[in-house]
Amino acid sequence: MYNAAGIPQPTSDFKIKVRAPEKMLLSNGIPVHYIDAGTQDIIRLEIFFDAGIIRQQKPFQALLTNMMLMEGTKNRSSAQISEDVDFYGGYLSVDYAKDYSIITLHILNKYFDKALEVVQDILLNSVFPEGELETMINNERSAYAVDVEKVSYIAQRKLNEMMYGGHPYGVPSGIADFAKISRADIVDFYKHYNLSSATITLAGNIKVRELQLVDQYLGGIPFAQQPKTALPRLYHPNYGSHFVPKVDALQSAIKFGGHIPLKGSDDFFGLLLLNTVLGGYFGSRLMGNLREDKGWTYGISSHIESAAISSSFIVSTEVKGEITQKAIDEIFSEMNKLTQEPVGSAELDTVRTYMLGKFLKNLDGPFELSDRFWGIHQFGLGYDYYDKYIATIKGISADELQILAQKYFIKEKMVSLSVGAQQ
Amino acid sequence: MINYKETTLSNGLKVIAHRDSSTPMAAINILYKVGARDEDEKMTGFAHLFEHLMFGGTPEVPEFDVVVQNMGGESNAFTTNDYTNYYITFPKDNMEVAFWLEADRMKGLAFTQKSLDNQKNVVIEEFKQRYLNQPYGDAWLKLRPVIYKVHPYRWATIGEKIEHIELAELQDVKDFFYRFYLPNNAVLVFSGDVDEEVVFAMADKYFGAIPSAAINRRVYPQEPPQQEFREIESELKVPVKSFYQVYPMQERKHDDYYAADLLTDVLARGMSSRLYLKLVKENPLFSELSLYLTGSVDPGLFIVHAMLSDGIDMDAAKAELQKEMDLLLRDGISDNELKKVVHKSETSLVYSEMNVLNKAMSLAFFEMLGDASGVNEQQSKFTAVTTADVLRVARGIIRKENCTCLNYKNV
Repeated sequence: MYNAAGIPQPTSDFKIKVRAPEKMLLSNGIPVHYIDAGTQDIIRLEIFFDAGIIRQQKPFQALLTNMMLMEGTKNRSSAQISEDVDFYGGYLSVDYAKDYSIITLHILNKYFDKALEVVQDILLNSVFPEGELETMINNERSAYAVDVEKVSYIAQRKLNEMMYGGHPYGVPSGIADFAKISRADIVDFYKHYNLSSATITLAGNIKVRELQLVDQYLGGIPFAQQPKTALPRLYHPNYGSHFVPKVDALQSAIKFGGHIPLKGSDDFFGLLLLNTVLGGYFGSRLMGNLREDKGWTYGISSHIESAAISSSFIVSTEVKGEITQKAIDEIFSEMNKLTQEPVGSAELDTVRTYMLGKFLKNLDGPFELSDRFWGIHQFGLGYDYYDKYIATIKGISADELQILAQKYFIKEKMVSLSVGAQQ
Repeated sequence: MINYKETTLSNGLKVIAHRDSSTPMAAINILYKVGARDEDEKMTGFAHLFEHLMFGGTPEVPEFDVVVQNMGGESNAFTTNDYTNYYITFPKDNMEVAFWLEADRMKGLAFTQKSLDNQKNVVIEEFKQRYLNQPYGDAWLKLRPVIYKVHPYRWATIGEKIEHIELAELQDVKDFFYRFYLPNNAVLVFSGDVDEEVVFAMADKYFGAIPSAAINRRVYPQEPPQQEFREIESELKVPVKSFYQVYPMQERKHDDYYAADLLTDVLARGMSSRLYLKLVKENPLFSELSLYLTGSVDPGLFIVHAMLSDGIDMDAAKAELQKEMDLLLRDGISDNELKKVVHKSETSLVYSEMNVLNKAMSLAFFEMLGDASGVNEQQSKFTAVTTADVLRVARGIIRKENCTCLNYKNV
């Protein structure tokens, strides 16, 4: 690979041990998956709910319901919720994704009980005040107005629409949709925040005291057992090339997307490697070509996104406006090359080592370990997922990767789109 | 608390080692004491362009990143107005490769025309992507030259304009390297599960023979105190009305930095902060308000950034903001407000010490400021701040004649 005088030879024989969390049931039956690790007296508590975009009936319903969790309970105003966590140096936040919504707390061990009391109040007593909702909608509308001026943001939205036509993931939305959300929509969506389908994770310095506190504050919350409702699974991709004009844009955003099998299925592991070769790291084919060779972009990358009903590979970049079409052609050409020729052994070794090192880094510390747990648990997968992952990184052949490229890098089964001043 | 040991090699390279036995990962961080303030005013953006070239290969290794990837590592860098920081994270078994690699590029670069031409293009695209093709992206290009009239902070690290980046030639690259990329102008930090003496020995083995040289550093002309309110407009068409109010303040090393940092927290950190409660929630004139400090080596900036709610008049919104500021300048803050933000600073510090890279970067940064031990003094400096300090510091900074305002009105 490189034979510089005196350069020490690196090893790729890393000791990789994936640590799973322990499991405890709270008094009311909610499972808590906890990892006691790390060197700092800090805790991260996460509560995942089956309340993602996939459950949405209207645009922004998941977002606004999620954000309204912080906006008032029977006992606390919005300001009091924040004050009572902030005063103890805690960070309480909410977020949402395609398949779930989440409440996250970061706090020093010594103040854990203070913050848990607020979390308990939110779970028991949220009231969604009308006035707070109005402010929230106005602020989110402003933030949205800024986002839709960015070519990368427009491209991401368009990609979802083209990949997931007719599915909640891909419902087109616009600024006018904010006016169509009422408090009733929020209250209705709140039914998805049912604890019977919630998962709690706890990571950091977790000892008996911390587990007892979680049970004390969250283990007594009553909830009705709800049968899991089926997920909407149907979607209609609109493959082919698309263009969204954005006058005055100096650069064009480009996105490619294609569907691949669900996380954990047979081809999935090899596709993770193939993706890395194509655009998954700094030394990737796409970076080498479009940035390091041609200087057309500050960066280009590809990644694999896993969701409950589908996984996909996605290529993203922003390029000099004048060469938009050439850049699209080059991306296709790099994919095509992977279907035509096997990846060379030196390059493949580099990718294997890079991915093993990266995986080791992704296991470093309590929060990372907890993230790896959620990364499989949400898909109903077990820790053998990671065994297969490592085995594939170490063992897959160049020929097998080429077959995967031929199977999934098919122009007619891909969305390619650009947003900019010119096509 | 970050425990560490330090030594200085005979060529002047400062080496700091922090042992963390809890992790198989390690980080090497090299900070060079050169940033955008060291640039020629006719060729701004050069320090950052140069940072890109540090990945462009050496006579020994054509591609830096290929070696990094082959050690299971990841590498990146960033440039500020004051310094340039490079790092690699990797499984600690490959520590020796990391030392070899960083020493190799401290010895010299390949200096190829191809790499320069290419990275000029990449940086120009970065300029467009981050500063020109985003709403409000031009803010600091506009603000800096109005706030700083003589200090080289008057241009942004990306450069004053794209034309300056186009000017760079290979000879400039070589001159810059041999002027600033010297062992006696750098701080090396290793953090990971390795005995400190082993780290020092390895540093000496790979870096010890790199020659030092006298550092020809410019004298930075210091900015005279601002005497009058300054106001400018951006012509950019934006989706939402917005403004910046920027106040010059003390440098990062000054003890008042901590009081100013807590002041920004009291005003705008989190949903229980004063301005958020009053002006985003109770009387929703703003959709977002954020306050922060630049924390630069020479006197820095206290920044208020506001996004207006839909349909709100800018002058009316500014007047209400000023009322809140005046209230604070009259009455100061309460003990409880101070306690809250000190607690928050404690959580942030504990959190920032959770991984080897953050710890290595912090040690290098404080060593650049003067002494790595400063990293462990932050909490006591936050705790030492009194409500009287916050009031005094607020009164010193938040004055109309000390303010520069940038407006985005063109919606």
